[in-house]
This record gives sequence, C-alpha cells and structure tokens, in this order.
Amino acid sequence: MNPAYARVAADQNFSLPKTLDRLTDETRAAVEKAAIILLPNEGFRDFTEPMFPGGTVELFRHLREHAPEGTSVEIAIEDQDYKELVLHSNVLQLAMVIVDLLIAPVAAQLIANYITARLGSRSKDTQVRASLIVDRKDGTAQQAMRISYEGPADTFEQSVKTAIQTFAQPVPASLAPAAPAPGPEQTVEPQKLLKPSQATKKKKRRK
Amino acid sequence: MTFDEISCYLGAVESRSAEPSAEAIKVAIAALKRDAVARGDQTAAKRAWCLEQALSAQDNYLRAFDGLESGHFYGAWCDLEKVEIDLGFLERHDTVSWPRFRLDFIRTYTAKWQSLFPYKLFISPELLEEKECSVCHQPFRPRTPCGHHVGEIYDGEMCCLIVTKLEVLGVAFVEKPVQKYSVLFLNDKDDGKSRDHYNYAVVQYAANALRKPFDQWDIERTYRRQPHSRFPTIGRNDLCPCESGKKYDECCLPESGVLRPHLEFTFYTLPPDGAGHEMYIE
Repeated sequence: MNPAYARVAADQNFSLPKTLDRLTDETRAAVEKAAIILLPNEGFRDFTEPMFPGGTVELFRHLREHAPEGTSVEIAIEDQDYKELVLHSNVLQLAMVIVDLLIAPVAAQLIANYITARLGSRSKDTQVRASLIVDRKDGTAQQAMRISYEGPADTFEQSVKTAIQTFAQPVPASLAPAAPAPGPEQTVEPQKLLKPSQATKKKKRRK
Repeated sequence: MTFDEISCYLGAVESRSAEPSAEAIKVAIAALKRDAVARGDQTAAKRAWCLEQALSAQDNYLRAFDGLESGHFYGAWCDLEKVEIDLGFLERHDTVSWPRFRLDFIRTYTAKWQSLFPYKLFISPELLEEKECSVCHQPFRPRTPCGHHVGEIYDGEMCCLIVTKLEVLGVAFVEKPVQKYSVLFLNDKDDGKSRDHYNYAVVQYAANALRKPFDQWDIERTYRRQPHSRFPTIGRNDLCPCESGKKYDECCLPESGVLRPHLEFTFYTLPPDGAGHEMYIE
C-alpha cells in the first residue's frame, strides 16, 4: 500500500471520548493538555478493552526523552490498565498519535528515529504501519488530518512530513470539508485529498 | 581462559579444531562474566555477553549447515532463525568484531540460505500481553519506568521483557513473520501426525554443492524457457504452465519453450563430484 492521507473534519474531542472516560481526572487533564498523545486501539476483532501495539512504552519513553523542552507527551491510559497487543508478523505497528500541527514535523522525525533504533538492520525489509492525527487550531476553525502510513521504514519520515506540509497549506475552498454538527459523537466521513502530483495529472488529462 | 584467548577461538571459526569444544568456551565465558559482575566491572561483563552472543551465532550457523547437509531442513531453518536473533541482539552493542569472527559472512549467508527455502506462509499469533522487566521484575508500565532499557546489558545479561499474563486473541497467516519457526505443516490423513510436505530440492542442491560452511556462493534469479516436452499433459487450450493465466497456445506454445523461473548458482569452490550441473524442479 502506498502512503496515503486523508483530511477529516473534527470537533475538539474527535476521537478521544471513549478513551478519556477510563482515565482519572488527573491523567485526563494531562492528556488533554498534551501536544503529543498516544492512543490505544479499542476495536481489535471483538475485543473492546484498550490495548497498544507492542513496543508502545518504548515509543512513549523515546518521545518523552527527545521531545523539545516544554512539549508534553502523554499516553491515554492508566498505568495499571496498560496492555500490549502483539502481532507476530514482520510489520512494525505503532500506536496512533495525536499531535498538534506546530509540533507535527518534529514528532514525525522523533518517530522515525525510534523506528530506526528499534529495527536496526531490519529497517530495510520491515514495513511500518502508523497513524497520526494532526490537529490544527488556528483560532477560527479546528481541523484534523489523519495520516495513515503503511510502507517501508526508511521512507516514513519524508512521506509523513510531506503530508503534514500539505495540511499546513490553506485549504482550497473546493476541498474544505463541511463543518461538523455540534456534539462529541459526531463523525464525519473522511474526504480523500488528492496528492499534489495526482491533482496535476488530472488537470493535464482534462486539457 | 582470557578474553583474548576466547577472541582467538572465535576468530578461528573456519579452521577450529575439536578441542576445546564450544561448550568448554561457553563455560569459560560464563566464568569471565561471573568474575566481572563480582568486581562490579560492567564493561567486562558486557564484553563477555558479546562474546557469548558471537559464539552462539557461530554455533547456530554451523549447526544449520550440518542440518542442511544431512537433510534436516526444518531444523536447519530454525537454527538460521536463531542466528538472525543472536545477531539482531548483538548488533546494537558490537559490530566491530564481526569481520574477525566471520559474523558479517554468517549474516549474509543466513539470509541467502533462508531465501532458498520453500516456506511461504507462517502462523502469527495475536497475543494480549502484560510484561515485566527481566532485570528487576517490575511491571512494565508507561509512566513508572524501572530505569532499565530493553536491549541494554546489565550484569552481563540483556534486559528483556518477560510476559507475565497472556491471552491468545487469534491466529493469523502471514507471509513475513517475526518468528520464522512457525512454519505450516500438513497433517497426515492416516495417522494424523504432522508431516513435512515441502520440496527442498533447491536448498538441497546448494547444500550438496558446498564442501564447507564458509564456502562462498551466489544465486541469480532469472527466467528461462524450458522445453515443451517437459509439459506433455498440457493441452493447447489449457492454461499455460508459465502461470501467466493465458491459454497455452496464446502464450508460450508458439515460443521456443515455456518461460519458467530459473535459478543460477555460482560456487566459488569446486563442488564435490556428483553435484548436479543442471536440474529441473517440479
């Protein structure tokens, strides 16, 4: 699968409510304020308990250790509830990350560094599967973009940074998603955003 | 034995004599490690661990080669997997000594041997786990780090995670597993026992053509046309044996032969008499 990204509209708590309900007030407050948040998977097969991909603690510690000073990194789980879902296929699955737009390129680089350190010489033949939700608050509107990446470890950083750059550009009116109706459970279907190269090809074809 | 003597032993892996045995060397390394830990010398303890890993990788590679030569292919496959694991653990701590201990050769040829095996599908368990640190046995939790880092060496042992609670959620079939041991085997219809149904002709061919574990060889994967006479039961309207999905008479039948995958080996040491020069594999 090629790296792909899609733009979604979202309210402030777009994918957090279920996860946050399980947290103590103290942890919840810390998670809500954090610039980088690791989220559990809550829908593996019929299993509803929150669980994280194997190695999430190492990723969490790596992000905390290397994030710029003043950048808060949190994980949306209480310590005693932490469990890992370990799949034994040769794909490095990372926990979903929510990150503020401003810190997103740094987060992408930190995650890429973690991948390199974790895989060592296996980097060449291991696929990485990751999801980042980049959250943009610009005072007038809030939007988020989910970046789903599945591909070689060594192209992760560049692919994700390119997607983040695209999101950082002003949204063309024709592609802007409709505003979601108020309410925390509002879900909006992802709207596929063409990559710049694809958009150019389409225009050329029309000519 | 000293560190230097053990390093000399590991450096002579190609021409090692029967004595001292690898077992004796393991005991000597363990003694060095114990002394280092007793002195509180973490550097020496780590050095002993590195030698231990190097010896294990060499041993597993040599055992895999024996298995290949004697036709115990699944056992050899598992030994090659152990080599991969040994080297994977070792690489973050020491790669300087790899050329001297032939570990770079071992890594390269482990991958080459693995590529010759017919295994394509593996079982991959889906497990829900809780873990603890192997050094201090504290539960492994996000916000309360015990201070030990997975993969680091403490008192001459690598910090790992021990699974303390496990729930099997499912089993998946995968083409690229993390653990390569989990090969699928068929059960025999009559006695219900597992049987090895794989065709090992390619790996056997290479094993028969080599004299020693450190003989060099290369493989090139191409396509070549095989004579139509090899496919006497295929009618002109049947699917082409080249597996293109087209009819035989619209694909390879008008050509000089059927296009099939072709493996070409280059051996840098003359193979023993009896090693075939060319063969077809069904």
